[in-house]
Amino acid sequence: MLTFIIRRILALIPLLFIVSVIVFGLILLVPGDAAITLAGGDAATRPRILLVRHQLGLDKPFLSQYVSWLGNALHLDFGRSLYSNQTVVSEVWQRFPVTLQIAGGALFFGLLIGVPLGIISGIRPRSVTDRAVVIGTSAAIAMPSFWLALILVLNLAVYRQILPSRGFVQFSTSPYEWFRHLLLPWISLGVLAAATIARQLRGALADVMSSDHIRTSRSKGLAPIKVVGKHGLKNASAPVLTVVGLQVAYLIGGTVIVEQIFGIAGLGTYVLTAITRDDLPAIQGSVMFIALLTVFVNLLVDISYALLNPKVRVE
Amino acid sequence: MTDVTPPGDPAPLLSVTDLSVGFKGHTETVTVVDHVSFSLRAGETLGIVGESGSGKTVSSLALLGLLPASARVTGSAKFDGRELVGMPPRKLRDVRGNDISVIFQEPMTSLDPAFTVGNQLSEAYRNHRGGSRRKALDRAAEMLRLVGIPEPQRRLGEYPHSFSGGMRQRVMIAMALICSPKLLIADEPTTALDVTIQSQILELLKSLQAELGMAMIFVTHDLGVVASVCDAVSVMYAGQVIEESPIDEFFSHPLHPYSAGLLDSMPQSVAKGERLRMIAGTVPPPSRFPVGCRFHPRCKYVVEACTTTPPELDSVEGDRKVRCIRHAELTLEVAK
Repeated sequence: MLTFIIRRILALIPLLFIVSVIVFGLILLVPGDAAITLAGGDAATRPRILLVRHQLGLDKPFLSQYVSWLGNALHLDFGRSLYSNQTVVSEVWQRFPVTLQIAGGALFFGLLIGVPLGIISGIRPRSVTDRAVVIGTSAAIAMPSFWLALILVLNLAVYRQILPSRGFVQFSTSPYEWFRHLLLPWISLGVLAAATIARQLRGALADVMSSDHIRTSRSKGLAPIKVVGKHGLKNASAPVLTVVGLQVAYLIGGTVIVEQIFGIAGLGTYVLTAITRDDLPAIQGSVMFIALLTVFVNLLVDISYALLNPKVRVE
Repeated sequence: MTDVTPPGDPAPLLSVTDLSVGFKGHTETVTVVDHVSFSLRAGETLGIVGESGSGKTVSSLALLGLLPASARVTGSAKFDGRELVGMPPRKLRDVRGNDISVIFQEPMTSLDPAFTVGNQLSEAYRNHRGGSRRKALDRAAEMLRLVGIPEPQRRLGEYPHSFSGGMRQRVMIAMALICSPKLLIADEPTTALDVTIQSQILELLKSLQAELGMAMIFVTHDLGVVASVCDAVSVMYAGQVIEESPIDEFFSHPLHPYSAGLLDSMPQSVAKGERLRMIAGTVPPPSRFPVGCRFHPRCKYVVEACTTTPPELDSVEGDRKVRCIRHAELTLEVAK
């Protein structure tokens, strides 16, 4: 098991290398002379342009720029934001917990709703309940999260005023207010996660339930809860885990929009602001951070595969 | 009922009467098993023989309610004084794996790949007997030793994928017998195995039966297997029992043309170099069972009456039964 994990981690190195090349290459996408654009375009003063050019190392050849950037990145140094003059890492680290709470809560919501729906649907395919779940999840998948967020805000926050429409309260300040402020973001992002998880679990479980070893479990006289809960779910969990891993990446991306709608200053807002202001170090740093996060989650998914399926450990 | 229960003997362990199984389709219910009856006493072995599609597996799985939810089972199956058909699921679970166990045709896929063999064996034991995990694992190791798996203690911690097909079938047998059932239903347990492994598994089942004194229902299409394991045989065709007989009489002179055809098509019944014989045609699907005798389109001895009148299962020679209107006039010879 340990060698399996080590091998998986080693396999990440080339992947992260490619990601770093792409992230650094973003600088090539800045239109015209990057230093002029980044210094403020036409309004930029000559000393400011020179400063930006030197600060970003744009006066050096591309390859050596990359090497020194990568060298710094390995020490978790992505430079300073062109605007706030704080280090990118400290800014990202400051914003990340909020985003983590939104995405994590949405994922929890997705599992809370998606897993039971997937189970009741998967153990009786083509039943009335199953058809209702299939129709409901299709609708949920077709619903864009920003649209759902706006509808929820309009109905629950603006008209009925049951929940706040904007803002964020720290858990340490007031758990109740924290929950009230995050509930709508969680639902807007989590509905799609729930629908996707339910659909995947439904398919996987329906497959497993018609397999020979489930018949064996029933022939042993096991109660249905044991047949489904132990033998069914463990065998159906691998495809669901894959989807959960993909959902994490999606949820982090989704926070960009949801943070805007609910006026929450998280990582999503940070990236968006950085992009609109051409704050290149901030973009590179946060994109690299999100990439690392995604890769880390997928590593966790791989490891849980191995824990759930003894054959993976051998291969 | 078969001869396995000679008159005057105590009540049979299992007595199945008019068991019918239908599957609910979109428009109509298709009956795949039609008024099947058989019985057997404690410690004896009944072979249920037939081609694919004859309903032999369905009738045996119906006893334990192991068919898909769309199946409709009627009739009666008395086991040890209890009625199995229509038994509430909770009660039926007490019977499954405890009083009646099953081993299936596909050893490669019949074990759960995600749990160790020890986990699956001890689960079967604790489900009915309770007790500690430790005690159940000891029992599991004892069962593995009984079915001839070397180093049982070590193998308990392994997953099914590190066992070969024959070994997996041994594990299945160990699991089926862990609660010492009174009846074992073996649904083509050797069909998916190599010939050499087949005979090992058959020998194992025979010796275990002698040791543990359980009754067996052996579902198979292989008459060679029937000859070596069974005390009596029940031949099924198109969802019906067409002949029941003690084993010796069946092999020396079958009563039904279909039985004769089956015996005739055994490889052992032709000389070397000669062509293998077969029964022309195939079993019709349940939605298109013929009128009259269901075997008549494939029968060599068909007469006009066979195409119109469904034959009854008649008792002959005291303890045999046959479903053929011409059984009295036909003398069926089987080449040896």
